[in-house]
Amino acid sequence: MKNLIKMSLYAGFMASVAFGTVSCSEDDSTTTNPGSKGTIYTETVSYLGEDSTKKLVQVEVKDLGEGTGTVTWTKDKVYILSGRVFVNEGQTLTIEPGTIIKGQGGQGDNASALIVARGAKIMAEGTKAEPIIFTSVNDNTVRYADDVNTLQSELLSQDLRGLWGGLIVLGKAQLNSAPGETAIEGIPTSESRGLYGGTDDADNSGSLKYISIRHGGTNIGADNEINGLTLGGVGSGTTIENIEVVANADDGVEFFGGTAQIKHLVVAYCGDDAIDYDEGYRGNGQFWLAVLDSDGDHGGEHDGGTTPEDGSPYAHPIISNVTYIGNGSSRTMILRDNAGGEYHNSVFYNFGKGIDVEDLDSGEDSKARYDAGDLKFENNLFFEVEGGTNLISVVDKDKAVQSELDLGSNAVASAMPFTSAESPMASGDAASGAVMPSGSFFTSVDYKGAFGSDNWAADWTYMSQKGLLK
Amino acid sequence: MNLRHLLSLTLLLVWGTSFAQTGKIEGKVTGSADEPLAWLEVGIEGTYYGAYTDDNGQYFIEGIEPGTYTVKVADMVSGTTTSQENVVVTAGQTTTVDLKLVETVETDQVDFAIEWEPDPVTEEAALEEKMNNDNVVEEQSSEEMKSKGASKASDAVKSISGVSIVNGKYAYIRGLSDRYSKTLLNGSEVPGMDPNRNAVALDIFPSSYISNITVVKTYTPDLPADYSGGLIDIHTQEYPDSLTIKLSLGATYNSQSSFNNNFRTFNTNPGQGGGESSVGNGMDWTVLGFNNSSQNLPTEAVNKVQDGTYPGFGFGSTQEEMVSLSKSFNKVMVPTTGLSGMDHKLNFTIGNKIALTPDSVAEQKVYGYFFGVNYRRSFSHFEDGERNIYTLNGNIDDKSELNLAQYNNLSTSKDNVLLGAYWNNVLQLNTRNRIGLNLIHNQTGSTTASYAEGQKDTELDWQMRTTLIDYTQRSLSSAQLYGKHEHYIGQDSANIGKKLEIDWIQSATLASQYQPDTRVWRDAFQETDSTRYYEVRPSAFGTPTRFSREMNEWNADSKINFSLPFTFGPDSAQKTLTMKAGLSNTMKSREYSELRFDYSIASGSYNGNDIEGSISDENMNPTSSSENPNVFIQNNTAPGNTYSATQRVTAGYLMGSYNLTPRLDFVGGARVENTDIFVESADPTKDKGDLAQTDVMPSANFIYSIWKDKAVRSKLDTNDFDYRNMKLRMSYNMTLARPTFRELAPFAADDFFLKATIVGNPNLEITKIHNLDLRWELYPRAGEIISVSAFYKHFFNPIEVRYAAKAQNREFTWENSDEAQLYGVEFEYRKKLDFITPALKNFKIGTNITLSQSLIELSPEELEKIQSIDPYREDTRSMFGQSPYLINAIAEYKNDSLGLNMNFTYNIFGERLAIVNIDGTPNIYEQPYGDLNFNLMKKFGERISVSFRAKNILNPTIKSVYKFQGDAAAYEKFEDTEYIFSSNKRGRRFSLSFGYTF
Repeated sequence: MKNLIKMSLYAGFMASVAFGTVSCSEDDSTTTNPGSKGTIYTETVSYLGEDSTKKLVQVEVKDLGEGTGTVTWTKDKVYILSGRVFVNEGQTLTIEPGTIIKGQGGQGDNASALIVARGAKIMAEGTKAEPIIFTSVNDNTVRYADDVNTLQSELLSQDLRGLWGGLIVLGKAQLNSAPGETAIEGIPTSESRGLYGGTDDADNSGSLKYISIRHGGTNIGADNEINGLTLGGVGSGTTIENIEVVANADDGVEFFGGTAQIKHLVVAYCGDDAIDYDEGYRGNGQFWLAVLDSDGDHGGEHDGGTTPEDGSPYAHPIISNVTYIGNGSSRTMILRDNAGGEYHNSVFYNFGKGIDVEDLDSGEDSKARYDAGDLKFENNLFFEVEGGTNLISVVDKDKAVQSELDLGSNAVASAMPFTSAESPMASGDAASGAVMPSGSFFTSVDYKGAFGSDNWAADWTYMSQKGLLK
Repeated sequence: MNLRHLLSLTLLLVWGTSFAQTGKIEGKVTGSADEPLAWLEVGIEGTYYGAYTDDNGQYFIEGIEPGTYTVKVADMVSGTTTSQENVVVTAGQTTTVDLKLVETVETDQVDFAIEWEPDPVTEEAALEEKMNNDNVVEEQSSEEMKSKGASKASDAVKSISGVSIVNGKYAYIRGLSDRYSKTLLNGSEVPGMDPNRNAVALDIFPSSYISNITVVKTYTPDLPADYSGGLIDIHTQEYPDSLTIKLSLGATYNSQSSFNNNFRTFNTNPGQGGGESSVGNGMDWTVLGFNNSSQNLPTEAVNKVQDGTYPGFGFGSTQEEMVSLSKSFNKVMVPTTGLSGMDHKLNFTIGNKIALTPDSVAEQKVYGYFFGVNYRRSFSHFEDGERNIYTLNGNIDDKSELNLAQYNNLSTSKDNVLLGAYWNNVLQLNTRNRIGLNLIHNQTGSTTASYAEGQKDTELDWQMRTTLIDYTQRSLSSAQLYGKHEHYIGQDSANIGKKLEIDWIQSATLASQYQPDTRVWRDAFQETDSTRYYEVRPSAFGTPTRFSREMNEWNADSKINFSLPFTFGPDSAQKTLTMKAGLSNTMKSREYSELRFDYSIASGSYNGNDIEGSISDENMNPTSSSENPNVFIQNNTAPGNTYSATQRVTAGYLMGSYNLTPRLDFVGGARVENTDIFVESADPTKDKGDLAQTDVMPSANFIYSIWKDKAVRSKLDTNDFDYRNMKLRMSYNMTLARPTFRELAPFAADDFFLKATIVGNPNLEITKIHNLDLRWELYPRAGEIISVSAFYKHFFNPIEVRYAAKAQNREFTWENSDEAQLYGVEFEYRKKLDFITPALKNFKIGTNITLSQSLIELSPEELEKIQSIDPYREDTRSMFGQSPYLINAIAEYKNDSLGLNMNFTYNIFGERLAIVNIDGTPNIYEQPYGDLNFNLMKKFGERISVSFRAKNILNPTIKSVYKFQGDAAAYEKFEDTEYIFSSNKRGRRFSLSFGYTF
C-alpha cells in the first residue's frame, strides 16, 4: 500500500504544479488497485479557481501489466498517463469526445505513452466541436467536472516538444521485416504487448477521429524519441480521420508496415520528419498537411525495409492531396532501401532540398522501385523547392537519378499555389487539375494539396486555435 | 633396443652402484604464501644430484654421498632461486630440507596482448561505446625491483600456453572468455570492477608486490568451482629475509603519445588547474588517481534526481529551478589539445624480518613485513582511427559488397594513473604456526578524451561530430587475515607422526568503479567553403548528454582447509592417503547506480564552433511566457537501472590424494557449492532476480610417472648427467559458471555505453562444464620442458548473449543454450641451446602453441533473421573471443655472471569473434597482429640495476573487420574482402628504468 499512497500524493503534487499559484483546497484521492499486476487508477479531486469552486477530477493511470481494461474514459475527468499504459489484447478503450489525456514527463523507461496493443481496440471518436486532446501534464488545458462542456484551454508554445511520449497503435497487418513481428521502438521484446505485425492486412484496431496530439516525443529508450502517432502494423480496417500532431520531438506520424489509412491529417512543428514510413507501409492517405519549422528534417522520410532492405511486400502507399510546407532549408523527401510509394495531386513548398531517391551500386534502393513502377509522382506541384524553376531541379540536383524521373505530369507552380503559407487553401495552379488515384478510399476533388476552399482543420486543431493555420 | 631402454639400463647401473653407502635428502618447496610449488628443480650444488618437486611440492634425492652440501631450488620460469647451505648428509640417513621461494623477484605488470575489447554484447557498436571500449593503451611499462630474470607476472600469465589478456584487463584462457576464468588474491575471492562481468580486472594489481601468479587449468575440489578455462591466483610478497629497501624510477617514450601537441585532454577547472590531466599546469588529485570535484555532477542536481524532485518541464518556479540547476553543471563538455609528457613511474619497497626472541630459543618468534608504494602514469594516443559500420543490405546472392552505413574518423587520448600501497605483516610463532595480515589499496584513475567526425548513410545531408570526455576511477581495498598451522598427531619414536595441516583465510574487500561525469557531445554540421554550420539534431544523431555511474562491491570470504595423511602397508610398499577437507563461505554485495542528464538546445541559438559559449549561463534563461529556455539540462535517469545485489556461495569439499601404485597417483573427491543470488532494482515495480541452487562437482585426476627422477648420464665418458621426468596426466572434472548479477536481473534497461537495451533473464541456470584433460610432459633438465596437452570441454546450459530479432533497437538478453563444445591441443617447448654448442649455454628458446575450436548453436530466432538474407549461414558459430590459435615465443640470453638478461618475446593470436550481427551482415572478427617486445636488464654490482625495454616494436594496425566474399570470382577462390569495423595503432614504446637497493 505504500506505493499507492505515494502515487496518490504524487497526483496531488502534479495537480498543484499544474495550477501553480492558484489556490486549491480539499484534495481527495481514491485509488483502485485490482491486484499486483493490475492497473492502478488514482483519482484526485481538486477544487481550483479563486474561490476554490471549480472541481477538477484527475485520474492517474499506472499499468503494471493488465492494461486499461475495457473501459470508457469520460470528458469529466483528465486522465494522466503514468509511464506506459497499454490497452491489452482483447480490451477496448473507449474515449468520449472532449476527453483530455495527459502524459507525465520522464524519459526512457519512465516515458508516458498510450499503447494500443495488437488485438486491442481504441474507440476514440472526438468531434469537430469536442476533439480528444493528448498533451502533457504541463499543459493547463482541462475541463472542470462541473462544467464539462467548456474547454479551459491554454495553448503552450509550439516550440515545446518532448514533454511526454505519444500515442502508439499496434496491429496485425503485414510487415516486410524478418521475422515478421517487431517490438515497437523503445519497448523491449520481453514486453510482448509491444509486438506488432502479422498477416491480417484488414485488421481493425478501432477508430481515431478528431484527435489532437501535442508536445510529445520524449526519449522512450535507447536514444529513441517517440513519434506523435505511431502506427505499427495497423490494418486498413482501422478508421483514422482528422488527426493533428503538433510540436512532437521526433516524427509526427510514423508508419511501420501495415495498411493504415488516414484522411485529414495535420502535422506541424515536429523535431524530425513530418511523415515517416518503414517496414513496408502499404496504406492510403489523403488531405495531409505538414508544416516544418527550423527544427524539422524531411517532409517525408520513406524507407522500404530495414532487415532485410529487400524485404517484401515493398512499401507502396498511395497518397494524394498532401501539402508539405518546408522551412526553406530542409529536404522535401527521401526515399531509400526499396521504398516505393505514390504521391498524387500534392503541393510541395519552401524546401531547401528536393526529392532524394536513393540510387546505390548495391541496388537496394528506391531507384530500383522507380524502375519497377512502384514509385510514382503524378500531378504534383512544386514551388520554391531547391530554388528550382523547372522540374529537373526540384528533384535533388546532386542525385544522378533525377534526370530519369518521369515528372511529366508534375509541374513547378508559376506562383504561390495557395493563399499563404499560413492559409494553404488551394489557389492558382493548385486550384484544379487533380487526377484521383484509383480506390474507393479517395474522395474525388479537383484541387491539388490538402485544402480546397474549405479549411477542414479550422477550430478543432491547435494550429487553428493558435492562429497558425487560417 | 630403443633409446629409452638403453637409458633405463644406464640408470639402473648408476643406482645399483651408489645406493648402499649414501644418504637421502627430502623436503618440501613452498612459495611465498606457503603454497606447494610443483615441478621445480631441486639440485645439490657442485654435483649432479637433483630432483623435481611433485604436485605437493615434495621432493627427495637419494644416493647422495655423505658430505656437506648446498641444496638449491630454481624456478626456471622466473629464474628465481633459493638455497640452503651446510646441509649434512649422512649415510643411511634422511635429511629434511624445506625450501621456500620467498625471494623478491622483478615483476612486470601483466602484459597486454590485446587492446580492443571484443565485447560480446555489442551488435554493431555505435561510436560512443566504441570510444569507451577502445581502451587503447592500457599497457603498463615494467616495474623494476630487482634485475633478475624475466618478469614473473607476465611470464606467469601471458607466456602460459592458452592464455591471453583482453582489453588489457581480462584473462581469456584456452579461448574461453572471462566468464570462464577466475581470479583470486592469495587464494581468496576478490570482487570484479565491471558491472557486466564477473571477472577481475588484472590491471589494477601493481606488479611490485606480486610475488607470482599461478594459472590453474584443471581443477581439484579444494578450489572454487566456478571456472573452466583457468584459475588465476595472484600471490603477493610475504617478507624478505633481511632488511631490504629498494627504490626504482623509470620513464617511457611512446612514439604516438609522448611530446604530442595533439594530445586530447580536458580541464574541468581551468582557473585553478583542477581537473587538469595531462598538460601539466599544476598539481591536482587526478594525478594520484582520485577524481576532483569539478569532474563530478553538481551535488544538488544529483540529490534532486535521487529523491525524485529534479524538475520536469514546467513553468514559473519549476522552470526557474531547472534553469538554476542547469547552470550548476560544469561547462567543460569537449576535449582540447595540448602537449603530452612521457610515461613515468616510481616504486619504493621496504621489508624486513625481525627476530622477537633470541636465536638460541628453539621456537623462535619472528615478525616479518613488507611495505610498498607504487606509482605510475602512462599516456596513450592515436589519430586516424577508423570506426565504421557496414551492412549486408539484401540477399547475399545479389550482393557483391557490403554497404557502408556509417563511418567515423576517431582520435583518442588516454592518461592512466595507477597508485598502489601494500603492507603485509607476518607473525611466526614457531616453525609450525604463523599468522599474517595483508593490507592492500590500489587506485587507478583514467582520463579519456575522444574526438570523431563521420557520417551515416541515412543522414547524407549532414556530417556528424561526436566527442567524449571521461574520467574513470577504480579502487580495490583488501584486508586479509590468514594463518597456517601444523600439528603432529600420534608422534612416536619411529615415525614423526601424522602431520595435520590447517590453513585459513578471512578476507574483506571493497572494489569500486566510479565514472563521475562522462560527457558526450553530439552534433551535426554542413560545410560550405570550409565554414561549418552546426546544429544539434537529437532525432538523427542523439543529444549531448552526461552520464555517471558508480559501482561498489563488497566481498567477504572465509576459507579453512585441513589436510591429514594416513599411511598403510608395510614399509617396503608403503602407501599414503592424504585427506583434505575444507569449508568456505563467500558473500558478495553490490550497489550499482547511474545518472543521466541530457541537454536540450534550441537550434536557433546554437553555435557549434563555440560550444561552451552556446551552453553558457547567459543562454540558460527562464522565459516569462510558456516557452522553453534556449538551453537547459533534463534528467534522463532511469531509476530502474540502479540496483543492488547479493551473492552467497557456501562450499565444502572432501578430497584425497593416494598413490595407487608407486607410479600412479590419484587425486580426487567432490565439492558441494550452494549458491544464492538475489538482484533487486531500485524501482520496486521491476521484477527481481533470484537464483538458489546446490551443485555437487566430482573430480578425478590421475598422474602416471613414466619416468621418475631419472638420472641419466648424457655422455657416457663424463659425469654430466641429466635428470628426466616424464608424466602422463589424465583428469575429469566438473565445474560451473554462474550468471552475473546483471544477466540475472529481469528488468530491461538501456545501457549508456552499449547504446542498447539490456534485459536480464531470471530463468538463467548455472552452467555445468564437463572438463576432460590429457597431458604428457617431459622435463629433460632444468629450464627445459616439452609437453603436449589435449582438452575437451562440454558445456551444459552455457550462457550466451541472445539478440532480440524482433527489436527495432539493439536489444539483447542472455539465455542458456542447450550445449556448447570446446576442444583443443596445447604444445609447449623450452630448450637451452647448448645442445648445439656449449658456447650457447646462455641462450634459451621457448614457445607454446594452443589450437582450439568451439561450437555453439544459434537460437532459431537469430538464425531465421540471419538466413532471411544469408541462407547459407550455418547454425553454429564459435564462442566469443575464442581464437583458433595462440602462439607465444621467447628467445632469451641470460648470463648471471655478467648480471645480464636479454630477451625477445612474441605473441600472436588467430582471429576471434568480437561482435555478432543478426541482420545477416557478417560477424566482426578481431584480426591477428604480432606483438614483439625486447627486454634488457643489467645489474651493476649488488645495488644498481638498469633495464631497457622496447615494446610493440612492430607497431601493427590493430583492427576488427567484417569479411565478405563479394563477387563470384572471389567467392570461388574463397577470397574475403575485409571491411574495417575499427582500426588504430598503439605506438612503439621505449622505456628506461633504474633501480637502487639500499
